[in-house]
Amino acid sequence: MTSEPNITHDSFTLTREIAASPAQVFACWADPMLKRRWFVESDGPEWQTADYALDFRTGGTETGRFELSEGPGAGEHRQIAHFLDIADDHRIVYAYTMAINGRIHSASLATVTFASTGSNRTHLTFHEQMTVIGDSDGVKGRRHGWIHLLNALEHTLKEAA
Amino acid sequence: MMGTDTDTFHFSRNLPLPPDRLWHLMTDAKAREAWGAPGEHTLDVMEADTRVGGIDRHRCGPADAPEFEVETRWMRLDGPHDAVFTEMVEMGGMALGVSLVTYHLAAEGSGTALSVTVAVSSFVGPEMMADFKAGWSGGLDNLERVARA
Repeated sequence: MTSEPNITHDSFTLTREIAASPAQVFACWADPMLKRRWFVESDGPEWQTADYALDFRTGGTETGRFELSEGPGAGEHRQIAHFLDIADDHRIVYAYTMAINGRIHSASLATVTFASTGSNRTHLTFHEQMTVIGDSDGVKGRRHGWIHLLNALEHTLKEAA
Repeated sequence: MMGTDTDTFHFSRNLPLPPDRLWHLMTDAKAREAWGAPGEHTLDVMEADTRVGGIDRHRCGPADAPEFEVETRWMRLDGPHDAVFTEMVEMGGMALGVSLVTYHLAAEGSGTALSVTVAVSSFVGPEMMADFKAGWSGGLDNLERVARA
């Protein structure tokens, strides 16, 4: 009998064509108020935010603690991210861990790119490479979560226009 | 600006050391000097803070001009079973790429089945992928030699 967790690897890519300039889309990741709108405040009432902080710079961090009150993932979800490389309006690369009730269940490298595809048009690519550690909803759950978040990002941009 | 390219490499080795001894070789900043650089390159530790959230810094490259700086940021250390860290490679202050590296060690008889997964994001073109892959492959060949010595 062993308590060592199973470890697997996976990745996924999401793309969006967005009716805004790369600078406007990038600002949604860089500006703490805009980021909070789509990244923190877009979840349903079953999610409560215990704390959230964004220090957007190379070497900076993003941390959050979120409580889910119901369902199989109920408990405290904690995110710790480190920004590894930022090229304004072009690229954000960061690594992050997700933990539930104190147990890290994934470590990821996220690469986000912003490419102009015309006047006020941006092709956004979100690529996540994951190490999944022990029990986790894995790449399926993470992909589902990011589809929801990118929908919320587009909604935030429309509101700000 | 050059594009951003991503890829993932998997390596596996069966090594004649038990997991706890191999763990030391793979995570101790000074011990990594003995195997971490491929071929004739050298690896010199500049700073070491090997704990979750800590950062190790190495200089790497040809012995007469080690031009690469490597920053290791430890995300998970669950010895002697698994470790996850990021590795940022820079040259002359320019970031070339970053990797998410996962070690997985499993006891196998008196030795260890080691798997290493390297997820790369390259900032200087797709050609850099081959260099990342060759660097890790060469480093693990060195590790095998050190483990068998």
